[in-house]
Amino acid sequence: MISPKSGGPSPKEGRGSGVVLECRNISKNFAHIQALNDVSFKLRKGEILGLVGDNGAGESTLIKINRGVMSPTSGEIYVEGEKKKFNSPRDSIREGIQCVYQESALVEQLTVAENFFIGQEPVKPYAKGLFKFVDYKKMREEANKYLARMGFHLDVMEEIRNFSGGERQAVAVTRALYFTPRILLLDEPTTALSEKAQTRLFTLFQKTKEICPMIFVTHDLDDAIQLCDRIIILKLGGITFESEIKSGLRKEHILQHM
Amino acid sequence: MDTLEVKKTLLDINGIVLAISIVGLIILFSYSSRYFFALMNFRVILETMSVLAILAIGAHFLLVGGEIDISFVSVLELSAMVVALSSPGNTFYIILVALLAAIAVGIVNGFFTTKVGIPSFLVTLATMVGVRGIVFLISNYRSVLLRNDLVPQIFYGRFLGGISSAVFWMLGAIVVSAIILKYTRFGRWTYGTGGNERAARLMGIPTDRVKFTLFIISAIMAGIAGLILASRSLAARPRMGDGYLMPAIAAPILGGALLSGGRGSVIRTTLGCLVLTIIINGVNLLGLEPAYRETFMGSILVGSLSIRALQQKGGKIPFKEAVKVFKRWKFFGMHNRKIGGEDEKEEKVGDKV
Repeated sequence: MISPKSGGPSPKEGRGSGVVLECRNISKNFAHIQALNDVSFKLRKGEILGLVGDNGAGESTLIKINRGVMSPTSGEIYVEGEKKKFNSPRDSIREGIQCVYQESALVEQLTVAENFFIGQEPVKPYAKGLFKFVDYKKMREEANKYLARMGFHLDVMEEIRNFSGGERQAVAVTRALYFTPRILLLDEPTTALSEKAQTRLFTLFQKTKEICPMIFVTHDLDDAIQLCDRIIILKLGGITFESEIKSGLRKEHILQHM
Repeated sequence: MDTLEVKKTLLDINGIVLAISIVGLIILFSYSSRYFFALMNFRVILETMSVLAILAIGAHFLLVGGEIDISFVSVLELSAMVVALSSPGNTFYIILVALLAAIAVGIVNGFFTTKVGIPSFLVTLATMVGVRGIVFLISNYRSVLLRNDLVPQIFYGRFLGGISSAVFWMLGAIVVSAIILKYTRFGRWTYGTGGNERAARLMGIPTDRVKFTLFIISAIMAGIAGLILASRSLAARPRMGDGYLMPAIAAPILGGALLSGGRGSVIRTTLGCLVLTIIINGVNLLGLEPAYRETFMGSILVGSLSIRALQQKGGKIPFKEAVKVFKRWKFFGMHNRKIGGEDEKEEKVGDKV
């Protein structure tokens, strides 16, 4: 069982310039198609790394491999210097890796509070720990409190299907941050959002990157330049460009590599 | 269950419809048969309902998890036949063997659905036919007597004022299932898996393991139902589960479960069983042909599904609009009655003149 808040290090431990996540020579084949070809990169503490590419460039595949949704054909993943193998999303959650997906990964029939804790429900022991039952009160209170702290005032007892795309994504992002992850994977999380909601989320990501470094997948180069500290361009499953954003980089220059 | 949940369950439209149906049916059958509204008959209803409710709760688990199991009728027959054939052996041993036989079918269903990837309807259709064949073979196409005294005592013996233990098995199944689904992580994962399997998997829920367990739970429920049926008739016979397939699937659906998964309530499933059992009982008391029973059940199911479809379409049941339509509906004679009333008044006035 995964207990909430069991994820990663404290904010203090997250500071510094060390490597949190390293992908070494990752390749992934689907039958005759090579989705990723010998991709290597590092994610450092306190940074947002942008993975930019067109559809089918391989950035989502890379996220899925780091999330444990699929295994690489070859290559290795290191979390804080330790070699890891993710056979399921549960394995990556255990390592403190949280993910926000484009389609939010929410269950329509469940309430905001239930979705907030899905897969990681808090439990309360009964009969001297013989039984452990889901703690609904804590779920409601924590979801309410944390969403409000992030500036989202939603009725946590309402089914998630009754909310807009932006509100759903807000729940998904807040949920990921609640579990104080070591690493946050953002797979096109702002695609369905309005500009206002996107700006709010970007501010949130900037504020929290010191606690948990992030990998931000997007097709939009402007978004990547606005949010990220460093970007990697992927094309046909391989890295074609890598650079720090703050070095007077010109968009036209990056576009040549896409 | 906290107050909010009780309120939510009771105020759910499916719960309201079921409660109205139960009251309506009780009034209808009490008016039609003088034997219906009697304490003795309510005991009979509860006892008849017990097997159906246990099967329906098993089916409900899978429906919530987004799968379906139609093999439970054969599993029921298998468990009944195994206990009868193993009798008069050690009571604990023969019950265990019968339940293990049921669990084996659950494992087969779970394996082919989650590991091989065959849709659960097809897998359980195949096991339903296959297991029924096994029951025919091991029984040599004949009924087998249950020659153990303790098994009928455990599963159908009379306790507390002559109430059959089957009723207590049913109550136990209701309470335990409701707690599992509502208050355990496994229960929440079942709703998550049925509601959006992909999202659930991405959030770390072991969806295949959840489904596998659900098939085993359904099989255990069917196994217990088989032991109750064998204890009731003191024998097992092939095809003794006939007639349970439709009502055991219909009851959770009446209670608000969706075939697509993610929704359902044990309490409302039980209410659904009660509705169907009252129909069976009432029709029997009236001495009507079984065809009426089927017609009644079918109508109630279609009515319930229509209300839900309307609800999903508009978000709410348009009660006000429905009343308006009803008032305008000359088919029911409401319009004519009004005219009739006026005519009657005119006649009286005429008489006076």
